[in-house]
Amino acid sequence: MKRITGFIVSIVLLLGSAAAYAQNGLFVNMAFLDGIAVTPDNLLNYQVQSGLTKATHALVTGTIRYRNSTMRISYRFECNLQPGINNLSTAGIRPAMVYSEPALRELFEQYKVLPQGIYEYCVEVTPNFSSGESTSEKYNECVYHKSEDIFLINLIDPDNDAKIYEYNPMLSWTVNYPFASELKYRLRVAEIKEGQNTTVAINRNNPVYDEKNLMQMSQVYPVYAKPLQLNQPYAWTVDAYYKGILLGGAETWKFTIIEDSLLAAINTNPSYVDVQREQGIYTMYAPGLLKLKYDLKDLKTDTLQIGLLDNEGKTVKMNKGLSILDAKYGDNRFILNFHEEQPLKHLQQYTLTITSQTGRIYKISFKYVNPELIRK
Amino acid sequence: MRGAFIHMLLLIIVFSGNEGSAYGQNPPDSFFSLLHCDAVYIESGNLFEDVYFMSAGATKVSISLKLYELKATNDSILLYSVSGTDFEAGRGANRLTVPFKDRRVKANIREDWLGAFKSIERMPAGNYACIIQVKNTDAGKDYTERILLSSDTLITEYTRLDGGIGRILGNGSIKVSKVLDSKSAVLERYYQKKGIACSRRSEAGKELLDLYYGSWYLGRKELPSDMTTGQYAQSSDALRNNLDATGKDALSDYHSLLSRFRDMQNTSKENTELVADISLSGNFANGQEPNSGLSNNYYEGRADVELPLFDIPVQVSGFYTTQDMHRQAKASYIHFRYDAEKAREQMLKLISGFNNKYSQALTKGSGYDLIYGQFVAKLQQEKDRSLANFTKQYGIDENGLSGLSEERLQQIVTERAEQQGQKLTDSLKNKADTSAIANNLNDKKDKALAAKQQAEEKYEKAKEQYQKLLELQQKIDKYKALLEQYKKSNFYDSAMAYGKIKDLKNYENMSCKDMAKKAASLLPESKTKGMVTGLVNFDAGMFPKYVSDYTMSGQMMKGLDMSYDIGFATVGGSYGKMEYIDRNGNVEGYKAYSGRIEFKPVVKQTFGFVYYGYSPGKSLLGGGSGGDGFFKDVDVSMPSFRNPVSILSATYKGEIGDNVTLSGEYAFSDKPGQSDEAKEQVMFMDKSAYNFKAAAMIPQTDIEIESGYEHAGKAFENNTLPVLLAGTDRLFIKTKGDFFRNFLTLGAEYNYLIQKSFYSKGSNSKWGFDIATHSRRYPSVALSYKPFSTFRSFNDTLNIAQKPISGEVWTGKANYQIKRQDRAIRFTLIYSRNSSTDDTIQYKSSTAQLSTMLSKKTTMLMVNIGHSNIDAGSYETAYPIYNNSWFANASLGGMVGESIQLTGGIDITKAGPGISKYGCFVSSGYAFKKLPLTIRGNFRYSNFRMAETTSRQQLVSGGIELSWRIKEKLYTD
Repeated sequence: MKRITGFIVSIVLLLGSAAAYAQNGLFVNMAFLDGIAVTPDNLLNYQVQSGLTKATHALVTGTIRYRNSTMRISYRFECNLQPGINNLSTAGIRPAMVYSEPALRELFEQYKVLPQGIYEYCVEVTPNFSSGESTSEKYNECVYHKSEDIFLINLIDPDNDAKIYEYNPMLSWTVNYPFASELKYRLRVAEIKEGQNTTVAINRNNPVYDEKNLMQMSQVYPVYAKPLQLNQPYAWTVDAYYKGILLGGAETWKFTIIEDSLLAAINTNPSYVDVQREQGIYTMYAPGLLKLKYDLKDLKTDTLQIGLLDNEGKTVKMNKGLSILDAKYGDNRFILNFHEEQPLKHLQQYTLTITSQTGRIYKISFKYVNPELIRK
Repeated sequence: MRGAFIHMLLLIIVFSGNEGSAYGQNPPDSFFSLLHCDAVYIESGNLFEDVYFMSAGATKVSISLKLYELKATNDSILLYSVSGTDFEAGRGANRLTVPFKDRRVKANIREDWLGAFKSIERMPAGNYACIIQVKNTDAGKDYTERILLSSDTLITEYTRLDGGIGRILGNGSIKVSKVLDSKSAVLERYYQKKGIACSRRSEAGKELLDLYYGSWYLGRKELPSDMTTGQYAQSSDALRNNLDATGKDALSDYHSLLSRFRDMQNTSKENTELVADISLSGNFANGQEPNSGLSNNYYEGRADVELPLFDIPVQVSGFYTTQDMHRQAKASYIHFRYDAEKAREQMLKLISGFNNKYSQALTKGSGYDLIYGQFVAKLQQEKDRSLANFTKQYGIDENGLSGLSEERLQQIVTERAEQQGQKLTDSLKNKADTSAIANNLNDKKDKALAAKQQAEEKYEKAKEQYQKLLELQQKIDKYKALLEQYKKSNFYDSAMAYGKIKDLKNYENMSCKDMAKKAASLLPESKTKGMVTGLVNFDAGMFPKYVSDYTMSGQMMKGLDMSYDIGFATVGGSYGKMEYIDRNGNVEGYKAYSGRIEFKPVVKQTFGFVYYGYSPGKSLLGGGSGGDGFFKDVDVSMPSFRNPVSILSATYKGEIGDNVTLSGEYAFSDKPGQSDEAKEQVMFMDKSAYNFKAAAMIPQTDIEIESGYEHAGKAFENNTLPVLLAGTDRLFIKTKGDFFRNFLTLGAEYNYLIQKSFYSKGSNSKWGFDIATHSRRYPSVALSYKPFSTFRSFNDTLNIAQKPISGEVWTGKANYQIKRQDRAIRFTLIYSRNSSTDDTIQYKSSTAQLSTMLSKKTTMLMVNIGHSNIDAGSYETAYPIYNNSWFANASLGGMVGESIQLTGGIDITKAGPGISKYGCFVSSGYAFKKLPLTIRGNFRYSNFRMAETTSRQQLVSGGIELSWRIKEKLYTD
């Protein structure tokens, strides 16, 4: 139903506009370029509908200009417009093009692309044009389009989300385009603040390092730049310029400088774990030893049998010294020194089972950490 | 489900094997069985009682509950009588929560008891019996059970009054007894407000608070006299989350795990605390480092606040920087969000906590069975022995005690005494008739009297023994009943909760709502049914949002986004402003909106659909004040640019077996406003973008393979995406494996890209190989090699002048650590080399760095030496003297005293002739002992020159930062 209504409305509008051409003379129809990237091949892919009763000599000017930029392409030519529809693309016209910068000409004419950004393409037709003058009204039409990044740079090293040790890392990338030697790169490194992802960080934060006009495809983070900080995540990306015109760039990657793998995050002197209350919610590390607290309330004495399972649930044979613990009424504290008595695998998950005399079983899951391998 | 059934069956078999099991008492034809109830409880000011029973079928039931207080004198007082109709019962195990205030329910509650109960939200100390009757309304059959309940005199669990006591005591280093002495009036007033009278006394290192409400004795609260108030606050907090400390796991006062969990949820510490981290920093400098975009003179403020709002964990974070004043794309933000992760975490904790506790309870249960079973058997033996003696002694043959009462006993003993008396009298008469010795008569009379007296004494003794026997019987009955009740509790803990959640191993993929549904019986009514349980996320403000690769892919959104779990799927949507920021920092604002649905996994396969639409915002088009006037006649001339662009996307995630994971997305963009003429020029596939990824782990090995393919059509349009790969096809495959017990890691990667954005198509390939060893004994080494190259077809090369590129990146790392008792030394050597050839022009750069780190308990010394070399060939570099540079730096850091951290260092660079750069820095941090405040400061001086001929520059910069952590308890009472 909506379609039918839409159709009727368009017919009415078309008739209305046709009447308008008849009265006003000309209409520039750029529908063929609506939402389509402009190239040298489709530049003149528009129609001029003339409502005039006879042919007219007209001046046609076209302008492509960019938002937030001084880049501009323009052309002008004169032609004869017949009453009715004039397809300029088939008229064999070769307009004289004017570019704001030579690089834009090469890009557009040789590589047939427009740089990234929102641009406006306007065509203006001046009928009854002779000797450079016209008193007639000018008719114009514009389309708008956004040109995407037109090529991609691939980052190579360090890998995305890499954890590195060096404070002056070498950042490398490669490109995918036909005119490599003509390109210059801009390398940006920015801090990633809390609550930001890499995209947001590189776009919104002022870069700590921003070097333009790099001709090579790698750069060691220079010593003269603002020193990089430990444990601070950084976002980095590379943009490419063709003779000063931004063409596109890479995705944003992330790296973080770290000092060591485990470091001080694991306390070498852990606190006691209450056997009866521990519910195994968080990852517990046993840096060589496990300290246990057992509160005996029901009996005067108790014998606790200790068992150990590895991450596949297989029983690990326990040394005698660790396999049985004697508890007395009240608060009991035990230290199981695995490092000295029962060597376990570094960073492996284990489950300790503690069975009381009454048959109660407690389970404690932990990750064993060899204290030799962490900083004290 | 099957597991739960088997478990229930096992329980039934185990329990039914015991003498006096609850099952044994039920008539075989009973429609209901195993009737049980928990103690009454309060939630949101209303009273509820949970009734459990097994039903043979689905039916409507009416329930009657009567609670009596059992006095020591064997009297009982009716406290409430509640009857309700129209409850629904299903087949199998049922838990009916009977609300006392409901249209279906009539409740008569003794006012003074209700006041006492509400004042502390626990039953006043004492023994209770609850008579439950469940009636099958359809069949008219009913079933009655008497449940013994008790409330301990000593209040060990966390009650609603503890928060207030905690506040009065404070959190300091003064002893509890002293604070109570000085604040006795405050404490009294606090209790008075609740209608409670408190009597305090000290005894054996404890402060005893006896609490009364009118004539009801609520119980006794014990506080440790010598503990500091800070320690007490900690232990009190621990109590809130500790099930074992509730004291409700003794047989005499056993509450089902379900009810204990529910109580704990109500008083839980979770969601009662406000945690805020606030930091402010100021940075000052006389200039900027070369090529730095940071002005070095700026202020920043950050705040992260986590707090519960209506019991919902909420997080508000904000960031402000004065650097925003000079740029279009701002970094400052404020973000308000529902902390769904925290809610999930809490739920997960609850479920795993219950599972653990349940297995403990089960073990304990078998212990109870053993201990109390033996105890009851002993009592039974004692009773049987006493009864045998008793019957023999008094010649009673009344079929045990059942037919015997005190009156009957008196009657029997009196009869016996009378019979004996009669015998004496008769013999006396006979003797009187046959003998004339009158003075003997009086003697006989006396004897008869004495015999009567003896009989009376015998009766008293018999009565005493009878009472003892009765007490024994009562004890036996009580423990039998308690044991049965305990088993019933356990049974329902299993049937209602454990059976449902024990197999939930796949917690990670479950939504909070699904978990809440499964664990419904553990949660208070409000948490299960509350709207918030279904909330998957709620974000408002400015936040990066990822929905899928081709719709919202991590851009900053200013607006609102939320999603909700509707059972079979999660639905969500967002509305707001999306900002695209180009590589020059220009901002384009778009109005964006989206809707999405993601179905719950079926056989580990998850499908979703996303609709995303955007159109240029007013600020971009120039309609608003922010417009730059670029666009003109927007309504007439550019329908396709102005009109919304719609993107439809289908997403997929799946797993095959345990080792293969798959994911993919297909998206299609449509511009409804585009002219037909333009539309005809674009093929359908050009408007599509899709990707597919697969990752697999080779079984029985540690080898992982991942591969993916992505295609983005030339005309696929999403102007809000940060990076759009329109016109590209990408393929990658990578593998990584660990060998020789993780000693060796090998990896390889291949990337291939074809781009058709240009007039001609271009492609490049990128390889990567890496090898690493991990060892404690020997140095660990890692080597990575990444060659890359671009390819052109012959035709392309004819069309456009082409210069192929090839190159490679080498990275080598080695590290070794020496550990001693009190120190560790670590050496790390890194070498990176990049070389590329573009046509005939070569570029090479390399860097080598060696660092040594000595770390002791609280100090660390690091020395780093490096060399970087650039062989630029015919390329120009910005600062040629730095093409060949040596650099070194050293830093020393550690703790000075207990709370000052100090780090300092120097650095020096030799590039070109002489020293091109040198500098030093010092930074320090101090954490206040009594305040949750940390202050940090840093200072840096550097002196450098960028070329041989330029003059030296000096840069002095510094900064100071204050961080404050606030933790505030928000009490609910």
